[in-house]
Amino acid sequence: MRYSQEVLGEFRGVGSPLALIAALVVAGVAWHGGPGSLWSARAAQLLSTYFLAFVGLSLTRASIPWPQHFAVPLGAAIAIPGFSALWPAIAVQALPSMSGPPHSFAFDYGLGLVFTEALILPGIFARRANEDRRDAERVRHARELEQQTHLKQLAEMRLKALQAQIEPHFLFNTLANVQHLVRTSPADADRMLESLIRYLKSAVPQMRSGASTVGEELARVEAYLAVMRVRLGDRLRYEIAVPSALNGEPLPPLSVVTLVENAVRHGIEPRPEGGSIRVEGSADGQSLTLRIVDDGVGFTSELGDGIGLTNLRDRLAAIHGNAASLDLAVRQPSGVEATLRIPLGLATDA
Amino acid sequence: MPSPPTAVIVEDEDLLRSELRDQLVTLWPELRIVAEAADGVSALRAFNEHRPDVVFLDIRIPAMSGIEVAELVSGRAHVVFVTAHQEFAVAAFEQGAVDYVVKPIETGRLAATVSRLKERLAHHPPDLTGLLAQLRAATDGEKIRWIQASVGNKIRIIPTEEVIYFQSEAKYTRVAADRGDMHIRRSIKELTEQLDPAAFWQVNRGIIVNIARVEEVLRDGDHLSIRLRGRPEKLPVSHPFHHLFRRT
Repeated sequence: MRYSQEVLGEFRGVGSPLALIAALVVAGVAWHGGPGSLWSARAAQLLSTYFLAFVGLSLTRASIPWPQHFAVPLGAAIAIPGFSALWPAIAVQALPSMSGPPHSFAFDYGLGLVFTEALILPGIFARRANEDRRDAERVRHARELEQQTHLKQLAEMRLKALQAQIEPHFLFNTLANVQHLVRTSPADADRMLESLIRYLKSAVPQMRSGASTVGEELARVEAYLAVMRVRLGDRLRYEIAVPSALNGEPLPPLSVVTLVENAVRHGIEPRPEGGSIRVEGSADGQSLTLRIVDDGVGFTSELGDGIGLTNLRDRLAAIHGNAASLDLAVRQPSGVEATLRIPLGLATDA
Repeated sequence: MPSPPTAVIVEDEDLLRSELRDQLVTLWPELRIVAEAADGVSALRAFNEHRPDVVFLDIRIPAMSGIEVAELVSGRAHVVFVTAHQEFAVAAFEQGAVDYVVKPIETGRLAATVSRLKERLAHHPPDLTGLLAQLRAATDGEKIRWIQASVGNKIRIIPTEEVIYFQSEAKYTRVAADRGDMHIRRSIKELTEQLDPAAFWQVNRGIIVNIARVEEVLRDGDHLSIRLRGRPEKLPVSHPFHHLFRRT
């Protein structure tokens, strides 16, 4: 079904102008000669030539590679004019009263040849162009599908990161703190709730748009640290030292806050005396560097579980490939330094 | 008159400690809270000094986990766990073998816990070893995700995803990674127990590979070897592990 539709398409595309010309030529010739003339016979010849050429073209399978493609026009070049050149010969035999210039085989053959090739060759080229176009479309379609899958995977990764971020322990412990403050110091309860709300709200728009900026990330970090400061009291000291000039630089959402939360959860909280966290940022010509440094317990053994960086690493790799990096190093006497390097200027998930 | 019941509260966050204290004072005025501790070590010190009847114990505390403290006071004091999230869907909790309090505290539920405790005080504190072993298993079951080792003069931490393969050598295990090789002390045997079996396969007695890095499987008659992305070497797969690479 589709094949014939393709052929019909080609016919309409290439055949129609030629058909029109052919029809005009044939009509002109027939009118000129009148019904009984040899030119009528020639008109019939040309019509049949066109018909045969079209049949030959339709029989050319689309999948034939280029060299063989020419077999049809060549075959047609020989057979069809030869066949159609017979018409005038037969006509002259059948109707000796026909008027018009006497035929010569060469003349009729030549006429048939020109007509045949004029129809077949453009048709072949048109078909080939169609095939190429179809192949290109197939490749483009495959690439689009790949991109869609890629985007879908990225969206899933973002969703996972978002789900992981609203951690029940954090939420319920914070609310338990607010519960106490509501009775004992409502103004402080208010402030803590504000920080909590800022923290929770800041994740969602970033996740939807797929991109964040240094400024937005640091706002979320600040909200988180403000909450933890109330909860841990003097056990948490922190400082955010990132030049405000970098605030507009793009970053994958939740990248910095993930590292800060790890520092608090795994570095500071396990220590009775607590510790301090410092967030630093800088940029050279090509990349943005963000450093999260703590003096907490650090990594106490050779092997460890779940610092939850897999998702962040995956997203960095998906967006930047090898150009972005996340490095963790042990600090002396204790603590961890996490260094996030991202190429300047790009960083959107989407 | 029997002496009033005594309790120690172990909770690292100041405000939460205060809240639990305030609510207990209201719901159980006879209870004497003899000490408060903010970490595992202080908790044990307070326990040894005061020998309370009840210990309210937060599970996530610094210096020592709440579970470790519970193991040490088990059978000597009634333990009530305090947790922000009932993450351990352990049968014993559900059966009521030991009490727990969820944060934020709901007064009604704390009141129910208090009446149960009053009844329990008539009896000797139960041995919690079985339950605690289950809790430990629930938390320790996590597979390792990162490796720390010296690379040159720095100590690097890399996630297990970046490991290409582990290979046992004379005294250490070599960790082959993109950024360079490093050495750790854990044996191949220990690693097979701790690595995620969905991501790492042992292929012979001394080698564990990251299966995401397997690029080529080479068969030469009866011999099987694999090549990993990023490394030229061919690693032999011994017979017991051939089934892993069987074509389906």
